[in-house]
Amino acid sequence: MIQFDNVSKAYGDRHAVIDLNLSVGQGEFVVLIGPSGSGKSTTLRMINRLVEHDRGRIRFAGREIRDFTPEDLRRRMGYAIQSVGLFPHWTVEKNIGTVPRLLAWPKNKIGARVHELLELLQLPPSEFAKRYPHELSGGQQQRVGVARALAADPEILLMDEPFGALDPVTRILLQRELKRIHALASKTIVMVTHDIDEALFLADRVVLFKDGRLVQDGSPLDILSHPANDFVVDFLGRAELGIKRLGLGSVREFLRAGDQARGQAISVDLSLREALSAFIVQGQAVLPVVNTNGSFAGELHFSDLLQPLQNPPGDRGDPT
Amino acid sequence: MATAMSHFSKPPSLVILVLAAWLLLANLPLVSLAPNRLLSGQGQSLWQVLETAGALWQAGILTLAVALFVCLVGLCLQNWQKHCAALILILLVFGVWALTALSGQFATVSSTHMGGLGRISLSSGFWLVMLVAWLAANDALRRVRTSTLWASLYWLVVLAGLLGLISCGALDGLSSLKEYANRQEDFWRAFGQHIHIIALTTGVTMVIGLPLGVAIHRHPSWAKRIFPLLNLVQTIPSIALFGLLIAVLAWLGKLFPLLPAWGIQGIGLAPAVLALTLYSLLPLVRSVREGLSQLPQAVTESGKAMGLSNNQLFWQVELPLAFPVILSGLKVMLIQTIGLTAVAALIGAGGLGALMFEGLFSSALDLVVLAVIPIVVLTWFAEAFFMALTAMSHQWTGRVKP
Repeated sequence: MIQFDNVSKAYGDRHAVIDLNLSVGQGEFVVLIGPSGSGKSTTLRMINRLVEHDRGRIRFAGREIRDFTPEDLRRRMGYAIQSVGLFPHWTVEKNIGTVPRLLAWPKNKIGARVHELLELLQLPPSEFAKRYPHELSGGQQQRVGVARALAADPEILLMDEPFGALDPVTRILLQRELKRIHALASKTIVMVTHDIDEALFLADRVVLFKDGRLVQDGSPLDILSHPANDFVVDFLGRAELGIKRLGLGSVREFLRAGDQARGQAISVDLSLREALSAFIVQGQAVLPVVNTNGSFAGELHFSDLLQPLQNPPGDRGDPT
Repeated sequence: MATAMSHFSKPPSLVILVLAAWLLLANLPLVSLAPNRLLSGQGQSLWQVLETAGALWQAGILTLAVALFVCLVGLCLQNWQKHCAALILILLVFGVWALTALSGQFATVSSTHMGGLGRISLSSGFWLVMLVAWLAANDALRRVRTSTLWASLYWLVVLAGLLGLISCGALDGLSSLKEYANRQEDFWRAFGQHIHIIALTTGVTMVIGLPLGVAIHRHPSWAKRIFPLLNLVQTIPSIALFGLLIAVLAWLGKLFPLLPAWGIQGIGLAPAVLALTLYSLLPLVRSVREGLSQLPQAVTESGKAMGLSNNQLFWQVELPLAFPVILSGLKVMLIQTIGLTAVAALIGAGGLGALMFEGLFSSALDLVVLAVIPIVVLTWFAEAFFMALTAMSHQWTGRVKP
């Protein structure tokens, strides 16, 4: 879908991105992460030509991006940013319909699409369609921002720290929703963040940047299990490497038969990180496990948490 | 006792203003009587005027005074502030109308006594009371917390009443209206010229200023070259600039004989419009630039990222969002132009300024008043018009009033 070949970008003397090689496959959720000034945002903005690269080649859907006019290219890519940037003089409805209008969709098709998206992002159309951005909370504005980015069913969604300005509760809620939308529509997503937990939770692939160079590129589990160097270890949080790794697996993966366990039952949907917490809180080495619907499922052994996790094929974890 | 005290607040400025109005009325002449057009007059106080006006007028003015006094007391009670301010607004309208009508009636009566030659003009007391009433009404409007639209409407009603008094002949005895009766044709020609100059200047300024403001926004380096120039123009006194342009245009006219044929010459309309445009450019260009640059970067960036072309971004996003700020620049520009156009008469552009200077040079103050009042009214209209437009534009841009 997106292919970077030896791409470089400099602002005067400062090298923002150096000799980048990166490919993003169809339907992949790729998260670019790194300290500020590491080149992750520049990389994202080179994809839709908000920033023009100096050297190398960037291809989109097999064609070099400079073969498209910037407008055509951008209308095929959704874009959402931290400060949202909704048009303050347009209603929610008109904001979401921006790109479909530019593509000259028929009116009733735009209306239907806007309603569909408002439903998808859990903003009841009857209540929100006619509101202006200043009448929305920060979380609602960002939902509208995401809906606007998705409006014309773009082939790829570019997001620059979309949840950075939100409070932790809203942020987690929207992360889950984005994950659900990604699973639902299997849309290609490239997202920039500096929040490592967000990256590990959302990404199929994490791409770590430092000083304009790509440092490591792999699945969250790869990166946690085989960090390339000390910088990666520090960035992931040296003291929490093991805990974060547990966060990637779910109780379901280590479920055993047996009904001898005592204590308060945990759900199969919990992450192993949450299960670890339950072991410690309850002071038990074996805990009973129940299914999502509350029926008995089996038990989980504390010692099993020491086994290495497997990279899941395709879909990983459960959004709820 | 303590609770009773807390219902009282300090006497607001409105109280002081209205008391000042009564003091002025008691001590300064309301109108002045002169035996003819050129001699200076003798002041007549409100009491002298009321004496000749009859019992009905006396009762009316007394009632208004008492009502105003009661409202002022009410204004000091916290719970009644808003209602009293609203009542004061109404009383002020009637007060202004009544004083004007009273002066007019007095003028009609005494000029017949004086056999038509006498001149009765509005005097210092009248004008100062009008000023104080204007300040008081503004203060009261703030207290009522009315919307801009209603405030504009209020001023419109005040003005309509005064124009009504003029048009039904109630003020015909006053000297300025006698001047008007004598110079009716000149007056309307001058008025037309005035509007013509303003319209031309506004048009030319917008045609040049709007693109210039946009260009400066897009190429910030231009600002360093253009703004010092426009600022410099503002520092040149208007009369000097008009004079300079006479020389420049005359010289150009000699170089290019076609220019005078098109009406572009040293004196008359061309240098006037040119000078006024030069003055008008700064407020407009600055407001366009400010309006565009105050837009959040996130909005323009996401506009671009959505795939809006530069043109679409400008017309659909940047211009509508910058519009309220541009409006404020247009307002400053127009009001400044209305005033400065009076000076343009000095280089033969005509307009109300011509009447004003004629009055000044022949010490016929009534003629000056006749020329100045339409200028004030025009300014007032412009102000009210832009106030309403700005209030509406905040609705168009989907923002609450700041």
